[in-house]
Amino acid sequence: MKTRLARILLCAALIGAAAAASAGGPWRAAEQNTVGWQFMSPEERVEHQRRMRSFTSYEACVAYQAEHHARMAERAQQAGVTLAPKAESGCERFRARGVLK
Amino acid sequence: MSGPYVTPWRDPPVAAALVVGLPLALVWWAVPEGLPWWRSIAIVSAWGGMGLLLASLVLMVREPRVARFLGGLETAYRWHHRSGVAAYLLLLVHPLALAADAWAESPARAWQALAPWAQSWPVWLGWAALVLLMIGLAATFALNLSYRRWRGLHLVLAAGVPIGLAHVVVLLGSTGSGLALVALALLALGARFVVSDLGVAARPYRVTAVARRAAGVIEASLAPCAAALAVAPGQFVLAAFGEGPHYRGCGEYHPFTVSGVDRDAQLRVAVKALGPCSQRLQDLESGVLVRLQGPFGRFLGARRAEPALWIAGGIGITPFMAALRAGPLDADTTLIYLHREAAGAPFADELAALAAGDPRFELISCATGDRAPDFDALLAQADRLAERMIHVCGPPAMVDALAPRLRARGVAPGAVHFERFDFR
Repeated sequence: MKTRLARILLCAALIGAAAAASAGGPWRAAEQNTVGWQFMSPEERVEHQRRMRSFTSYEACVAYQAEHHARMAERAQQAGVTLAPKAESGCERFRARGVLK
Repeated sequence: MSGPYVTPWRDPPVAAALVVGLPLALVWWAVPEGLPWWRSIAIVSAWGGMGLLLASLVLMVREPRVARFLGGLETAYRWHHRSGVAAYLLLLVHPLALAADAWAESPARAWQALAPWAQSWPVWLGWAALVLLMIGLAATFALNLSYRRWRGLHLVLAAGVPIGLAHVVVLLGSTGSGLALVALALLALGARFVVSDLGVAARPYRVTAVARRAAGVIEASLAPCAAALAVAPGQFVLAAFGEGPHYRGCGEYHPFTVSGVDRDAQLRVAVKALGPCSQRLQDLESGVLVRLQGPFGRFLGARRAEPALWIAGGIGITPFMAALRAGPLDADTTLIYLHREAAGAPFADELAALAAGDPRFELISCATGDRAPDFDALLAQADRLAERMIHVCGPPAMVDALAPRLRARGVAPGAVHFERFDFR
């Protein structure tokens, strides 16, 4: 009986540890944190999220973000729309999490 | 032969806990905040599906200690299948939910979200994995598929897992979480292929004798070449028969129930011609090398010194033969032995001799022909049914037919033990 209980507890502990060790899910690109979201195709959104997650340096992240903003501003201009800045910034979020140095 | 006193109990649901717990843990970690509903569904289904897929991989590790931990190989396989199917369904929801999310913008966006050619290679990996899972799963539901073909298609399914994980890791970017999932998957896949399929941990045995027990049924005696497996009556081993002087085996592992555990560590296994490999084994000869893994299962492991009823159908007689050969019974035992033809039933003569020599052993042998047996009449021959421990071994249809009849006669569910030996 003790062995059986140990098996259950071990299983629960493994699962709990796996979950606890990974505090917080991955960052996700979304309308509220991505400038020009409405001008991006699904493929571009996926690629943008992937690029943003792959940075390890804050400078590289900000450089890419500036490049992305310029590209989106150009698309907005062609559509006759003015882009509003976003309250959230992916690079700032990553730096706050300690992902970017 | 008497086993230790074991109160019948249900397994702690370790396998079920894994199948429920692992996806829930991943979903809990990845659950999104502030995203549109359909995109949240897409994310939850992806991580839930991935958790189920990983649980399914862990459950296919065919190692005796791992199998015992999970509640037995049969239980592990059952949950492996369930979690694999559930994983596929959840992972199928993932792209559909992404398309539904894009539909809110426009139908064109929804189509772009679904069409693989509108995507880049990280997404192609996801589609490739899904297609491979679909092909592999279709094989598991095909009833009349040969073992070889089934196994090949199952390998396709297995190939879909690392590809799907590559899709996850690439999209996650440089994160340890994705790599931890990959490590777990590769560990489980590696353990299955290297330890189980290649038989790195298998013990070498040699065939010392082959006896024909009936038409299409042989019994092979196996002597250990090195350390022997500690096998108890009612257990089964995975055996890969290899080369002999004039015999070439299939070289792949198949489950065989042990029909005898002899004093000199020799084992006996009965082989009925059911497929190409077991058909070839009918020509087995002495001297052939065989590699064994196990033991697995604990059928007959929960016996105690109280009246018992054993019900065997066809080759399902095998575990009871091992128990009877292990020594005199210490409780009144009735064996109902169902077989197609009276002439040539495996072990019929030996069983008759055992029944004649042991007053505690009663044999009820019944030739059914091609008709379904009259279970009610057979059960009526066993008195004090509700006081007996009952073990049933036979084809799934026989087990399914007996279960309600035993319940109707007042037999408690905990007093009935059976294992289906119909998994691949």
